[in-house]
Formats: sequence, structure tokens, C-alpha cells
Amino acid sequence: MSERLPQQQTVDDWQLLALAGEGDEDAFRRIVERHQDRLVRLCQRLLHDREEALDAAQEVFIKAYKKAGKLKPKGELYTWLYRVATNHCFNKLRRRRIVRFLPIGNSLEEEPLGREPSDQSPAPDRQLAARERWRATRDAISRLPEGQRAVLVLAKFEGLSYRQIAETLQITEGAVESRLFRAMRNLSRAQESTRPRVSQGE
Amino acid sequence: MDRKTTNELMRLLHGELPDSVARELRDRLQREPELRRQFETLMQQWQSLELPDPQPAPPGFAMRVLARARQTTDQRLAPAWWSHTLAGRVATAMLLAGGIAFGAILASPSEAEDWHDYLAEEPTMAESYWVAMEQPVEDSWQENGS
Repeated sequence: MSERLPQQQTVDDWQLLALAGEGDEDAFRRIVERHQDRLVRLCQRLLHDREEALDAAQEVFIKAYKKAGKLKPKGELYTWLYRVATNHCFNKLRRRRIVRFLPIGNSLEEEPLGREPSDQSPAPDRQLAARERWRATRDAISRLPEGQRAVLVLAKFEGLSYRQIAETLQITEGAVESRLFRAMRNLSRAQESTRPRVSQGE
Repeated sequence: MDRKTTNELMRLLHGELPDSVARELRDRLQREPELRRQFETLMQQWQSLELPDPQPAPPGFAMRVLARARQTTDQRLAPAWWSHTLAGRVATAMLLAGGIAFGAILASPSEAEDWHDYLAEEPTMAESYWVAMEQPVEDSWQENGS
């Protein structure tokens, strides 16, 4: 699990946003620089498309810019950014599904898988195995209902605590726990069904 | 595995349990092989969820966002022609009011029917002419002569 998000930036974030609301572009640029990697990463994990993720992250920051003078400091800014990003990505996925008349998972087949496996192994068979695992994970996650998918991605890949996820998605911690339970159960079933294909690749 | 146990094990896996509760559960895992097996299965499943690390935002991303935000704000602040001056606003309001009034007249069914009835009762000049022309000339002469 990745490390938990730092919280000491909270006050500075809101102060910067207030300054951005008064027209301070440098303050806004600092907010973007501070959160851009995190937001692009989240969007990419939800959309599975680099270019769309960059567009989505940009749109989220522009929303923040437009609301800079109106947003009242509440909790941590990144949870607001994460919430807007999650909703924005799910809206994009819904539109994509309507336009393509395909389930979300099918749109991922031709997409490049991203960075090389973390072990940096040059062995092609190990790389192939890692890619198969990624593909299986991605397909399984893509087929989860939105609520479960959001909780799982935030917990597993963004390293948020239950409290942070609850704050981001504006649900209770109990709901986070429940969605995570159902997500794991669904993934377990999906992994059972794809196991023969994955093991062939290994 | 029941839901309560799974949730507890998930919380243990994520470091979400208070220290005292986590210690108790770890003790149970030592004592109960079945529970330990369940925990290992869950941990294995959790760790098997692998995705490649997404690339960070490209260089210059923040400046691109800033430029786009500036552009959006400029568009938002740019006054439309009809709201730019007081005269423009008055003219727009009058046009709107005129349009609404005209629409209301056209849409009123009773008035439209009355107008049609009036036309039906009163012959036009052309109709009067042709009615007069259809009358025999002799008749009119005789009438005049007598």
C-alpha cells in the first residue's frame, strides 16, 4: 500500500486557493503543481487512458480555479479535488459507454499498459506475466460498480485511509468498509473465472 | 468467511484497527489456523491486485492548466453584446417584450376566431365587385328605367 497522504498541507492549500480566488495565478500554479501527479494518477487509474486522464485532471483544476473564491475551507483540499476528479471520471466513463455501445472493460484492450513491471526484469516471460496480471486486475476493477471501484482504487492504489475515503466520497466509514467487502468478493469471483487464462500466460 | 471477520481482517490488513484490537486479532491468528489461512488468502488477493504505476503529470502541465484556466475566465468575463451597455440592455428588453406580446396575440385562439368571423361576414371589395358584375345588365337597366 502506498503511503498515506500528508495532512500538513491543508492550511496552505486553502490559503493558496483563497489567493487564487483573488487573482493570484502563482498561488493557483502552486496548487496545481502540488496535486497534479496525484490527480493525474487517480484519473488514469479510473479511466485507463493517459490522454483522457490528463484532460480530466485539467478540467478538475479549472473547476477549482473557477470556484477558488467561493469554496469554504472544509477538511482537506485534496479530498475535494479527489471527489471532483472521481465524479468527473465516472461521467466520462458513462459518456464513453454510451458513445461506444460497449462495456467499459472492452475499451481497454488496445490501450498501452504503462510503465514496465516494478522488478525491472528483462526476462520477456516475466514481463508478459506481469502484463497479464495487470490486464486481469484492470479488467476486473473495470467491471466493478462505480461505488466499489472508487473505494477500491482510493484504498489500494491511492493509499487513503477509510476516513479519508469517506471524506472524499462523502459517505460513512461503514459504507467504505461495506463497499470494500463487496468489491473484494466480486474481484475474488472474477479472479476465479480468469485464473486459467492468467496461469497460461505465466 | 463471514462478513464481520472479513471486515476485521481487512481493517487489520489496512492498518485501520486500534492497536489493542489489532494485537488481540494477531494473537487469534497465531492460535487459530483457519483464521490465519483466511487472512493469508485475503492478503494474497489484495496483493495480487497489481497495476502499473501511472506516469506523473508531464512537464509544463501546470502552466498548461493555468493558460486554459485564464482562457476560460476571460471567456466568462467577456461581456456579451447585449449586456455591454445600458442602451443594449434596454433594446434587448424591448425586443423581448415585443416578441412576447406578438407571440401572445398570435397564440390567442378567441381573437383569431373573431378576426376570421369578421372576414367571413364582411365581403371584400373584390367579392362585392364580382357579385355586382354577375347581375344581368338588362335587369339593372329596366329597374333604372322603371
